[in-house]
Amino acid sequence: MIELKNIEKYYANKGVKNYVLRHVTTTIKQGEFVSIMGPSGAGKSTLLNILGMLEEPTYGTYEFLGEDVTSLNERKRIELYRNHIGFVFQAYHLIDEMTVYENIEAPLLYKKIGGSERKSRIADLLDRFNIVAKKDLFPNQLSGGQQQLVGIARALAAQPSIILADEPTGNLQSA
Amino acid sequence: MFKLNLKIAWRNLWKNKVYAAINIGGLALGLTAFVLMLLYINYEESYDTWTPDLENVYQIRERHDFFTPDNKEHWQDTQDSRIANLLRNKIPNTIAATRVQPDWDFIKGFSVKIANANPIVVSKMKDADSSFFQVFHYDFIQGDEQTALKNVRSVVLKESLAKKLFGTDKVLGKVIKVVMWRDDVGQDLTITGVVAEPKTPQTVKFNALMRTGEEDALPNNASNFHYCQVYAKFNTTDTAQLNSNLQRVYLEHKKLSFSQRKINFKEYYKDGKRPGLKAVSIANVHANPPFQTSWVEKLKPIVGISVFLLVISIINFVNLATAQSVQRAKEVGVKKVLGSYKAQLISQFLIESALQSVSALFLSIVLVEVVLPLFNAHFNVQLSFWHNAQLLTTLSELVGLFIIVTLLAGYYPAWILSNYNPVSVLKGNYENGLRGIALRNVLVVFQFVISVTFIIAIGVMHLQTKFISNKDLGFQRGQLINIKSNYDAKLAERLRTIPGVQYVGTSTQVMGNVFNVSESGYYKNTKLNFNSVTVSMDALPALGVQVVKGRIFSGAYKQDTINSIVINETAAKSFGKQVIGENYYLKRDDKNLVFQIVGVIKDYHNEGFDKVVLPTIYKVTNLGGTSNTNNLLVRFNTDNIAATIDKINVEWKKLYPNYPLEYETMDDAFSNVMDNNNRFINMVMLFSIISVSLSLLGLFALSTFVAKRRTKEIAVRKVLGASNIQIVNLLNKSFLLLVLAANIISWPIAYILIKKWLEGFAYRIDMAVVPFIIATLTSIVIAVLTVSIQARKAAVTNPVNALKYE
Repeated sequence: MIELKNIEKYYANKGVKNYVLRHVTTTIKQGEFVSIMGPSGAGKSTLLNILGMLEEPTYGTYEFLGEDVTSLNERKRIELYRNHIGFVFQAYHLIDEMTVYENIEAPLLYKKIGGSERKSRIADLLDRFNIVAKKDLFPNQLSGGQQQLVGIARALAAQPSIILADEPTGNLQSA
Repeated sequence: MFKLNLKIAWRNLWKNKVYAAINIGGLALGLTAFVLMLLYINYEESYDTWTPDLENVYQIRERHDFFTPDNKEHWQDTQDSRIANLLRNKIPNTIAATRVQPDWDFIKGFSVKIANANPIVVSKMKDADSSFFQVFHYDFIQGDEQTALKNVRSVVLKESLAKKLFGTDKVLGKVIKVVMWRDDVGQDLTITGVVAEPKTPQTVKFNALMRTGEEDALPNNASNFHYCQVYAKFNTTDTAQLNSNLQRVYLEHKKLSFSQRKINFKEYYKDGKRPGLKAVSIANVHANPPFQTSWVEKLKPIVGISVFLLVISIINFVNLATAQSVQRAKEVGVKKVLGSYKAQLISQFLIESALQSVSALFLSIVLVEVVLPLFNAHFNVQLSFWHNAQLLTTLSELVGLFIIVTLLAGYYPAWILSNYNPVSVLKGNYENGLRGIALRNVLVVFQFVISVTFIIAIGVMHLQTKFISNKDLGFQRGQLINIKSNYDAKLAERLRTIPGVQYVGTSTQVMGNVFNVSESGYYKNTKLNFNSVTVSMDALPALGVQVVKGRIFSGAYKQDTINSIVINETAAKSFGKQVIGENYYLKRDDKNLVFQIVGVIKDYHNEGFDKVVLPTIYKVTNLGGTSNTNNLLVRFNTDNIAATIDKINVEWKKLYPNYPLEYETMDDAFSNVMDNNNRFINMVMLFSIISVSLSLLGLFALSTFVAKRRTKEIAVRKVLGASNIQIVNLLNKSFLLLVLAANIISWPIAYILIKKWLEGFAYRIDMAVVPFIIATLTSIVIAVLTVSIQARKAAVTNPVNALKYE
C-alpha cells in the first residue's frame, strides 16, 4: 500500500545540508499497524508528514496505493485526503468554532456523503467513543483526553484506508 | 457545507463581538457617506429626464462677447428673442421653439391675488410663448396640452400650487391676478391647465407657466432687444450638424442686424471676439450652467473625501481580518488535511466578509434614512432614498458597491488564510504561516496619511475662516436692510420721515444682489475695463463706506448728478498717484462723455471672499449705467429695527397694496455669502472626525490583536524581568514608527491640497506651519494612547496565565 524508496529530506542551511532523513526505504501493507520510534530529532514527524503528503521529500520516491505521489498536484492530493487518509494530531487540532458533532461531520461533508448516512455514521462513532452527551459542546469545553477522542473519531469518520497519528497520546496524562 | 460555514462565520463574529462591531460599524459609516453621495449624484443626473421626449430638446446658447473678469469663453443662456423665429424659419429640423422668461435671482416671485384674499408671493412663475408645451411635454391633470396656451393671458399651474391657492386641482377657468412688481397694475390670467409634478427635477422649473403675451411680441425695431431663453425641439440628435447650421444662420442674422443698426460687423468683432450660437442638449444643461461652477466641479472634493472615508473603513476591515487570521490558522490547516479545496476556503472567507458587508450596508441604509433630513436641510436639496425615480439605479449601484466592498475587503484576507501551509500551522508554528504584516503596515500608514491630512486641513481651514470672518468688509452691515424694489422718490421720501431711518438709497451692487455691469472707458487715451455701479446720492453713506481720498457724492454739488464719479481703491491703481480731479472718458456714438473723479473709497465686498473686488466706478447718473436696481437700501440709526420695519411696511402698503414688502438684512446677506464656504468646511470637519476616529478604532483593534499575538513573548519577557513600562514601549515602538512615517508622507500631500483650496480665495492667509505640527503631535499622542491602553492590559496580566495557557 505504501512504498518508500530511498527517501531523503534535508534542509539547506548556509550551503550545509542538514539531513533529517536519509535512505529510508520501507513497505507498509494494508492492515499493518506500524509504530515509528526514535529519540527526538530523529525525523519521526518529518517522515509522517511525508507519508501524509504534507511535506515533499527532497529525494526518493513514494508510492501510495501503487501510484507515485512524490509530487502531486493539490487537487489529487486533496482527493487522497478525502478518501484515504485520516490524521490524528498530538495537539488534537479540533476546529474551535465547531461543536463535537460538527467536527466529526466535517470530513464527511468534504467527502459529499449524504445526510442520513452522515447522521448514522456520526451517531455510531459518538456511541462507540462514549461521547454522545458531549456532541453539542465546543472543544474548549472538553478535557484533553476527550478532545483527543473527538480527534480520533473525526479521523475514523471518513473511513480512510490509513490513519496517520503523530504522538496521539503525547498530550494526555498517562493514567 | 454552506450552512456550516455560515454558522462558523456567525460564531466567529460573535466571539470577536467588539471587533466585528468596529468592522461593521466603520464600514457602515464609510458606506453611509458614499450612499449619500450616490443619492446626490443620481439626483443631479436625473435633471430633465422625466420623459423620453426630452431627448430632442435643446437649450440655445449664444457666445458671450463682453468683458468678463475671468477672461474665459462663456456661452450665455439668455439671448435675443428673435433667435426663436430664426430657428422656426431657417432651421428645417425645428419641430418647435419656445421663448421663456429667464430666472432673475433677485426676484423672489410675483404677487398673486385671488378675489379679495391677501396677495401672496409665488416663486417660479414663468412667462413663455404659446409653444412651451410643444417643446416640454407635461402630464396635464386638467386642461389640454395642445390648447392650454392658445390664448394670451392664460396660465397653467402645477398641481401643488393649484392646491395651495384653491385647495383643489379643479381650477380650470378660474382667474388669478398676477402683480409682477410693486406698482404693476397687474393682469388677470385665466387658468387653462394643471400639470402634475414630473418625476425628476427640471432646469426650466415653474410653479405656474404664464402666457402674458410678453414673450410673443418681437421688438419693433432693430435696435431694440428683448432677452429671453430659447428652447427648441428638433427632429435630429446630430448635434454637430445642427450646430453648424445654427452657426451659419446666426451669422447671417447677425450681419443683417448689424447693417440695420449701422454697426460695422468687422470693426465690432476685430479684437478676437466671435459671434456664436449653439444648441446644448437639455440633458447637459444642468451639468453645464453658464457663468457658474457646475455641480460636477463642486462635488469633486466631496467625492474625493467620501471615497477616502470608504477606503479607510475597507482598510480597517482588511487589517482586522488579516490580524484575526492567526486565530483561524488552525481551522484552515485542519480543513486542508480533511480534504478542503483552496477555492472552498476562499469562498468560505468571502462569505464571511460578505456577511459583514451586507450588515454594514443595511446599517448604512438605516443611517442614511436618519441623516437624510439633516443632509437635505444642509445642502438645500430634496433627496429621498425610497421615494425617488432612480430607486432602481440606486439599488443596482448598491449591489455593485456591496460586491466591490466584499471583494476589496474580503479577498485579500481570504487569500492569505487559504494559503496557510498546513504543516507549519499544525505544528503550532503560526509565525511562519503569518503573512500580510508588511501589507498591514502599509495600510496603517495609508490610513494615517489620510487622517493626518484631514487634521491639517481642518487646522488651516479654521485659520482661514477666522481670517475671513474678522476681515473688514469695507461697509457696515449692521442696521442695514435691502428692500427688494427699485428706487422710487415717492417711497424714499416717505421712508425718510420715519424716525430711526437715517439714509434711503439705491445701488446696482449690494451684497446679495450683485449686478456687475462692465464698462470700457479711457483715461489719458488708455483703454481701461471697469465694473460700473449706479448709485443714488445717499447710497454710499447708507452702505457706510470709508472714504480714502476726496469726497463721496453729496447734494451740495450740483455736478454730482451729471458727471462726477467715485472710484474704489482697486480702480484707483489704474489711474496713477494723483486721481482726484482727473478726467475719465466714455465713448458713446462718436461723442466723448467726460467724468471727473471726485473721490476714492475703500474696497468693499459684495460677494464671497473667493472673488476679488473688481475695479469699480460709481456714478449717480444712468449714463452708461442703469437705474433699474431692484435694491432699496435703508440704513437705521436705531437698534429697534423690527418696529421701524413695521412702520416701513405701513407706508409700503399705502403705496403698493397688491405687492407685499420683501426685504433682507445685510447680516443675512452676509451669512448667505459665507454659507457656501462654511458648508464645505463643516463637511470636511465632519468627515475628518469620522475618518480619524475610524483610523483610531482600527488601530485600537489592531493593537489588541498584536498584543494578543505576543502574549507569550510578553509573559516570557516579564518572567525574565522586564518592567511594565518596558513592555508598553515595546508594543508602542512598532506603531509609532508607522505613525511617524505617515506624518512625513502626509505633509507634502496636505500642503499641495490645501494650497489649492486656499487659491480659491482671493483673500487668504499664508500657509501656516502650526496646523502641521499640531496634526503630527495629535496623531502621535492619540496613537500612543490607543496602543498603550492595550499594551498595558497585556503588560499587567500575570505571566503565569499566559504561560499556562500556552
